Amino acid sequence: MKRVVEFKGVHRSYQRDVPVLDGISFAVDAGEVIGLLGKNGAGKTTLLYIAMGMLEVQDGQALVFGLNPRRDVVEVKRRVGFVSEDQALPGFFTANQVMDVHRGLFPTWEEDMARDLMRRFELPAERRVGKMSKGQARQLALLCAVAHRPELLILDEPAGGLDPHARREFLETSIRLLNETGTTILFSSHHMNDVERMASRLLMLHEGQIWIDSELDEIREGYCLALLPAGMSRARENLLAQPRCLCVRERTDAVRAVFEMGAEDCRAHLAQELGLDVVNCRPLPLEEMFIELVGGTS
Amino acid sequence: MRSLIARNAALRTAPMWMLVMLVGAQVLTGIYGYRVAKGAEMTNTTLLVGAWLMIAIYLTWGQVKHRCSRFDLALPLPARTLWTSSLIGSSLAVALMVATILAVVAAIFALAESLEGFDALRAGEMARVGSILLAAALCGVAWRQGRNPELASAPGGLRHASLVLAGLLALLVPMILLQDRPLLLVPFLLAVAALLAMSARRGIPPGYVLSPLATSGGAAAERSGPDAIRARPARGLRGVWLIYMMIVRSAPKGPALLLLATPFLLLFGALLSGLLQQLVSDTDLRFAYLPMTAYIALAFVAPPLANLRAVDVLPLGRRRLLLLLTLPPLVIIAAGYLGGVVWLGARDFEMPRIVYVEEGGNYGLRVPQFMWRMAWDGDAPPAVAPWGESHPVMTIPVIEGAPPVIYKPYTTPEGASRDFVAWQIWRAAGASFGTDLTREEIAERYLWTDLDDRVRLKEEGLELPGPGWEVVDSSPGPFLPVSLALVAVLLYVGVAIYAPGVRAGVSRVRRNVRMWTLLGMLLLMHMAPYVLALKGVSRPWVLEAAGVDVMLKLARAVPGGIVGVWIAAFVVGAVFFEIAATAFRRVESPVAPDTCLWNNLDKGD
Repeated sequence: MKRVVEFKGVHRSYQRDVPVLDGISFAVDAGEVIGLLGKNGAGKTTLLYIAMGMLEVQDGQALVFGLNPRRDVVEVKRRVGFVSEDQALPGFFTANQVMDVHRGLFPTWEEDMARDLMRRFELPAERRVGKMSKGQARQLALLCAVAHRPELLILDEPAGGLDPHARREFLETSIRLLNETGTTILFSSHHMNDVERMASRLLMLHEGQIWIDSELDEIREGYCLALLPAGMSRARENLLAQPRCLCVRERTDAVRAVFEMGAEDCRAHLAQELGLDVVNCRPLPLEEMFIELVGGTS
Repeated sequence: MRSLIARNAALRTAPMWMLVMLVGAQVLTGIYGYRVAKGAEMTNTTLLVGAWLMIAIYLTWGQVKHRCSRFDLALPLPARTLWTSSLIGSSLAVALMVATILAVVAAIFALAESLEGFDALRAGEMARVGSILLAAALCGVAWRQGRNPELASAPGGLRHASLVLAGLLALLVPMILLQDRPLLLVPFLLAVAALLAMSARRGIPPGYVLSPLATSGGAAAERSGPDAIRARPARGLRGVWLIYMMIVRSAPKGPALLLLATPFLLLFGALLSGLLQQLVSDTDLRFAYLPMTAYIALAFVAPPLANLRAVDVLPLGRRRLLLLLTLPPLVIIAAGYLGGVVWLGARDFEMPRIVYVEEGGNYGLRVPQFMWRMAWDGDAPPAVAPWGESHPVMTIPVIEGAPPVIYKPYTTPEGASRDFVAWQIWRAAGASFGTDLTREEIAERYLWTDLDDRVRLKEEGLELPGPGWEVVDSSPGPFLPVSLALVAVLLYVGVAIYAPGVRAGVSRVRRNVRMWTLLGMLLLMHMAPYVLALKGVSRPWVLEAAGVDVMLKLARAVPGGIVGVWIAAFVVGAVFFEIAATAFRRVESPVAPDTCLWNNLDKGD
């Protein structure tokens, strides 16, 4: 399988001793659709910007198509499409002019695809970007990002601020359009539904590290939430001492722990290790897992 | 209220506009000096009109139209309170502009008066001009703030701007007609300002709105879909132009910066051509404008350099981006230079280059400063005629107390023979513009020796070139390539120092401090010759002459003549471009969109 993105021990911080990415390592192969999750400030945008060559790594190595995106700028960016939530499309250009710039810079630009998307999005070609609605501007950005058939599509919160209908159409269009042709997609989102619907693999960033790097199916089956009655002595310490316990949260009604194992295995494991006969273990929806993980004590 | 005034857009952008006024005021004093040198009557109309033009530009395109930010709109404050704070803030800002212009003009006039005996405007007249300008500016602020009082920001489109500018220029009529009666004019203008302000205040609704109600259905007629696509791939010049526009206009205030910088770059290009000196005096100070030219170029390049988000996602190499950023200002400067040369040529106007004139009872040969030479060790060679007559030459120290001197190889000291003087005139004319006359013909035609053995003119004053003197070569040297190379060096050094500040981990404050320090250093470089002159350490024209001699010697050392000099200038520029490109390669797009270099007004607006 062809390797598209490879991060090896990437470190990046904006302030001394406050790492945003602290030795991140992962690899993305061709054709994968990777959902990037993490709370605000987790480093998702930093990671994507590094992949785009818009930020430097301070330590480690980031490779895209085996190239250094900071050094081989043109070679990398010609093969990448990029859309971000706050994408700075020139507001004073018409849609036609924006597309003209992209036509001139991307040798692989497909006019038929651009026209097809213009029709689908009903974009006004002669309207200035600044006069477009947020959804239209984002659709134009997507059009420009995909009409040159990129080998890698990077989407940084691309549907942020869009209404549910526009968001779904945006994501489905881009992902269906490109994934059918084997394009690799790396996208970040706060919408768990989007991630669950689109991604084949999930990367969860937390405190500068990758907490979860798994196929989505494995996450659905391989993680569970264990609920223990409140008031148990040393519950937190005991749970955290268990292997594959990712985090523990103490609430007034219960102690909640996320385990990297199936619900049945977890129940059996806790019964054996802690002598707990009745433990409520259940599979964990992605959104709930996200909340438990980023809010719990690791 | 104080907090609102402190956040006022006009006040926050005042430092940038004060710099514009500073440069504009220098140009204004140059024009004023030119008119005086041409024998125009000493009135303050030129000053009044010039200063008001600058103020009118500020009132039209400055932040005076802003009444509040979106943040202010969300506060539980009535629109009238916001409007009042905006009126006060804008009035303070415009007062700062007037003060800047007058301070610069007064300082330059004082310097000119002390150095050259220039009979400048008296302090009383300056105060009169200042009071008229201030009253008129307050009138302009009240009018600007009174337009469409229901909006959070007065309209600023081209149509509105033209109207505002026309109205402000119309104010010149009473200002010029009644300038000699300030006791009538100033209260009149203040009364008009008060009336406008009161009238506007009455029209302010309880709350501002962000935009007027739409009146046309033009958007509905827009075509959409694939049929509306006009596929014209942006390649070649159009591609370069579109990408350049993306870069420049992506910076906050980019279009305004382009509009502001272009005329100044053209102007400084023209000044580098020696335009002002040729028109006003024979003292050539064009190298003194190099730092200010680089200042304008750097101030123009820096904001887009810090806002590359729009283009950073495109497959454009960093060297190409840097070239796109920095080449246009250099081209505009070159265009200004050529414009200056063409304008001078079209006017067929030239100051006399060589003058043999009586000064203090002795005749002396005055030559342009580019004909002075420099002796680093202070040991100037004597002038030796072919028949052996030898005289020491005139020397002036470049810096008082230091060895280097500039000397005039064409010195005609007291006691020199008629043939020696003729020989020097012949040499100087030949070096400056070429001549077919021999020294014998010059001696015969122009010179005689009086009873005291002093060489004198047959007729009063010999100015060359004159009738019968054919100008063969009027170029004083390869100033254009050298000037462009020096501006490029300063610009690229500036970029190399500024670029490391444009990184995701560097705060905007630190980046701006870096920028302003750089600009401040260029400003100091510009002012240094004048400060040295005030301290009696050196004289601007002496420093210029020394610099020109170094340049000419270097140019002569380059093989290939003018083509060789152009190639050398290109190589120097390319070397410093590479230095800047190395630093520019590490520039990072900010993770959050950046706002204006000088203010934070765009955030959320």
